[in-house]
Amino acid sequence: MSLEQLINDCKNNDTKAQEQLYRLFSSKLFAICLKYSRNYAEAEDNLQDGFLIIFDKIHQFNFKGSFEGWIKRIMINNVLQQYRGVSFLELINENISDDSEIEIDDESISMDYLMKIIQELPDRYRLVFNLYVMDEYSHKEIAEMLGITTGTSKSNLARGRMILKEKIESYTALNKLPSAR
Amino acid sequence: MSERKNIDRLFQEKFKDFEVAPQQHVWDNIEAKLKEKKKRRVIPFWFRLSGVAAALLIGLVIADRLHDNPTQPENNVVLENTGKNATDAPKGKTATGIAVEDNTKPDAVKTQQQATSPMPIDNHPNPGNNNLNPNNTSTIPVASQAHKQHNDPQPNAPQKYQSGGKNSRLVPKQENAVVYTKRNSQKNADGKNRLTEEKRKNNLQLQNNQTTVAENGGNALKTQSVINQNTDAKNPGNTDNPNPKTSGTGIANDILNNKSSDASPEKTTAITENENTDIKKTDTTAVATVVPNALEELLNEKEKQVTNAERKVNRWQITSNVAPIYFSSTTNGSPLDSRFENNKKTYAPTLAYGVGVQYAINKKLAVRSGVNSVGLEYNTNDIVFFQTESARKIQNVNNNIQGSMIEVDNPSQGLAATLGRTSSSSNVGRTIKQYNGNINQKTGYVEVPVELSYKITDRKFGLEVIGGISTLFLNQNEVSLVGSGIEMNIGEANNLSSLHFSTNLGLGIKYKLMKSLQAHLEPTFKYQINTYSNDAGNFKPYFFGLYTGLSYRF
Repeated sequence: MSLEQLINDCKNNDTKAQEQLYRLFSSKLFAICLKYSRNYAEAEDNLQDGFLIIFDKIHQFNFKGSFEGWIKRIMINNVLQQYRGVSFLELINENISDDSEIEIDDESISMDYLMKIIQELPDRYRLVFNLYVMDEYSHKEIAEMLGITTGTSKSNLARGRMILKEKIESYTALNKLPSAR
Repeated sequence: MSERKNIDRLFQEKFKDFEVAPQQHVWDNIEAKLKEKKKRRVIPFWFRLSGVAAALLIGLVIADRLHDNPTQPENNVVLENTGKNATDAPKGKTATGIAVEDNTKPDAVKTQQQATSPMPIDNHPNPGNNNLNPNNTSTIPVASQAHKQHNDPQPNAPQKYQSGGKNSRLVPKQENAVVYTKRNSQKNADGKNRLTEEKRKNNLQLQNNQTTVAENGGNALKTQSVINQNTDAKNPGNTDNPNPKTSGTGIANDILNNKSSDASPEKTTAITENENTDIKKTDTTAVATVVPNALEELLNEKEKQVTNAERKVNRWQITSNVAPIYFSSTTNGSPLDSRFENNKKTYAPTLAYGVGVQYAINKKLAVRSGVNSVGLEYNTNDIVFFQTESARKIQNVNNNIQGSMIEVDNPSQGLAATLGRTSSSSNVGRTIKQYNGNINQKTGYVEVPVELSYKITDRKFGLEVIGGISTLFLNQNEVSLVGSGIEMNIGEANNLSSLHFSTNLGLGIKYKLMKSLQAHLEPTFKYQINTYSNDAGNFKPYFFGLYTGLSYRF
């Protein structure tokens, strides 16, 4: 069955088609949820809510643009919805070193650890870091999506980066002897 | 293996094509929520449908109102004109004839104004052309004069109608002049004619066409009547002028047209001898075929409007209904108590009555609504009842004081069993009588149907299919016991929805008594949905009504 046919069946609330669509995209979307959420359990909740929104709004999809892009955007927006409202103390316009270079041994770092440190980031930093780095939104777009200024977005990104960098450095320091230059 | 790299790059590379399959329980949750949603949607679906139907009905009412208004002034204009063209009226023209005349008049005004007033230059080429032909020179001034007189009256037509006497005398000449100019333009510029033939927007040609239409139209037998009316319209003097020679102006016009039409073939043939024939032939035929079509269209349009107006008159219909109602259930449950599920039920025929209104969307399809009062009644047979202080309640009945002292049961669970069960001291030493009887449940509803009917045949006898839904509002709820010589109310059912629906399917048989009055018989089946708010005891009710009544169209 073609994707188009599957989508049309979903529009008619066909449960079989909905399940098939879920099987097709859940892995990709769950990866997004994991990156944007605080932990595994919340990622599952967000995935569930996101799919319900997708099935609810699928009749609005009119085959303009890629379906995958469409459902990704829904999923991201849904997750943003969850964490956008959470505000925390802002420290802006502080000089943050732009040195995001890091010495690293590619193989030495596990996916699990990277996921863990992303999830551990404060909500806003995590969202901005994901949006900017992983999903390649511009600061302007991020500012609109989160209801913040581009300046805040930039500083949030830099802070997120710094935290990640520190954690990776401490991780490599713990797990490996410092390698000779 | 270590290298310095940007932290962004690190994450981008690592998370590229990163996929994690979620656990099964996530889908289970989603599926459960989806199902829940589907279930919840059952009733809103009906609400939505009835909402759509109601909106349609309201929209039609409004549209009809709006539609009526513009047609009324139009009719008034027609009436006024017939009043003004007093001499027209005796001609015995039909309504459509007048309408056409009325319509063509403003058209003629428009085109003539277009042709002459904004572009005075256009008139000049014609006289210029005419000048080449020495024979015609004398007629030109008259023609142009006639044109001017002709054009001027249009803005304030009624006043100038009076002075139409003069114009009428000029008319034959004018028409001749027009023929000449037409011919001249043909003669002078064949190529130009071809061009103008194609580009009929050209003002000069428009003027020519407009005038030659009259003559050529007069030749074309097919559209003669239309053209006559057209000339009527164009020469208000003609129509208004009480011609002393003839009894009716219509005849006068005919004569005029005949004259001109007599004249024009002669002249055109005369020219065809002189000129190369091909172009002219095509030219004249082209004018004769194209232009009458436009007029025919106008005529058709008018006729359509008239017939529409006629039909519109009969779009609405009010009906009265009386119907014997046969209530029943597709299953043998009991909405009162599961104890009585297997008892035999007898359904009492009742009566429904009401009024309705119907709006015809088109010839075949109509929307209808109304208000009916419906009573439904049935008996649960073969029960026993007796008085006891510790009466076992009927599951879905809220007892009144009387009812709370009475136990109702199947005979096998009767008095003896109850005494065994309760051995209450209050029962000792009293004679307790057990009665055989029925439980009677009466419910009454106000029914608001929204239905569509489709006519299969529509003659003296009509046949139609009816489908739709009804919304039923509970307004009577009574449970009583009926024994030999006893009937008492014991309370009301607590599981009836205050509002429920039915899907309706029926067949309508109509008989026209008079033009606007008809009798009808509509056997209709109504399957009830959501009648009981909770425990319906496997009772699936429906009712069948033989709706009879009269309906009046207006």
